[in-house]
Amino acid sequence: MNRWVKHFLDGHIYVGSDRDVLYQKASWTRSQNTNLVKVELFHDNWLLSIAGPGYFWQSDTYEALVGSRDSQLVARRIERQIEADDRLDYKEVIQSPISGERSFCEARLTKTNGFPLESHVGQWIVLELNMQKSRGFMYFSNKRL
Amino acid sequence: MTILLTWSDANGGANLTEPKDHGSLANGATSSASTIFVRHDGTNPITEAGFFIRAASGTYSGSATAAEDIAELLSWGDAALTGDFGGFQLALDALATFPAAEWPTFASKTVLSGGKIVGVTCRTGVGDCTTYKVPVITEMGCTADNEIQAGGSPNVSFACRMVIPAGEGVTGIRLFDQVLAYNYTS
Repeated sequence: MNRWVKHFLDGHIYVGSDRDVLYQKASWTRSQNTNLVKVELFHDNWLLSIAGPGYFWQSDTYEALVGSRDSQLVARRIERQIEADDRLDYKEVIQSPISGERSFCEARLTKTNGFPLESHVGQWIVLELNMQKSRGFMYFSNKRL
Repeated sequence: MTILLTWSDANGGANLTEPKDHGSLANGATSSASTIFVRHDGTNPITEAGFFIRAASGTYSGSATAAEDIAELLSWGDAALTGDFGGFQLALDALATFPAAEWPTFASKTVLSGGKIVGVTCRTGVGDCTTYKVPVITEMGCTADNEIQAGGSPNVSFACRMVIPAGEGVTGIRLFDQVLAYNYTS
């Protein structure tokens, strides 16, 4: 079952699956989004994971033909906003468990004395699973997607 | 989570019968503009929403190939000569009832108002892929640019039409997909 898992500072977790969302038993925006230390996104055989603490977001990209009620899932992503006092190395994980292959994606983020550049503060570090390319990507965005 | 979209020819109306048929047109003719309303059943707004066209998907029933059709449509929009100009056009200013001055022309393939695209001819690099999608705007009835609000009948609409180049030499049926790309957070 495809799902995200929110890990909180106090050790508890909150899981939102596609099925739960469909039946309005879970919601990213309406569930707790503070005091998070890590978010994982599981989709088919993929795992995307970003460590915190910080402000996280999750979004999907879809495409729909004009006239068609249904949409096709194009990409799933998790995002974390970069904070001035971050000491993270931005080596996040995009993993394909079925093959056991683990891909560490190191973002091209220059840091000064271990802290992010001022220009990066407030931007978002994004881990994205692209369905059409069957690949994971890491990039920075100047806005929440 | 997948949400369901409803495309209709009236606000709150039943879903369109697809595919959209722009009619049989002579060289140099412009189809009647079709106004299409869109809404969705998500509990949150959809964001980063915009339109583009691409090669027809599914079983092809045109006169050439899906790849040739989309290449030709985009070349009509790219045309450097007025006699070769045409293609698929969008008008987005529903609040102003899609004024004639905001439909694109050969001389003005993209029409801007207040810095936003209110009229456009799809062509290479403009509305031809998700990267270059034409964003939805408040003039369509959206409560914010790039977003389509939640709600059963949000009154968001656009108009579209086909322009056939005056100098077109090949008759036949052209097919393409018009796509709405968007983001959604549950």
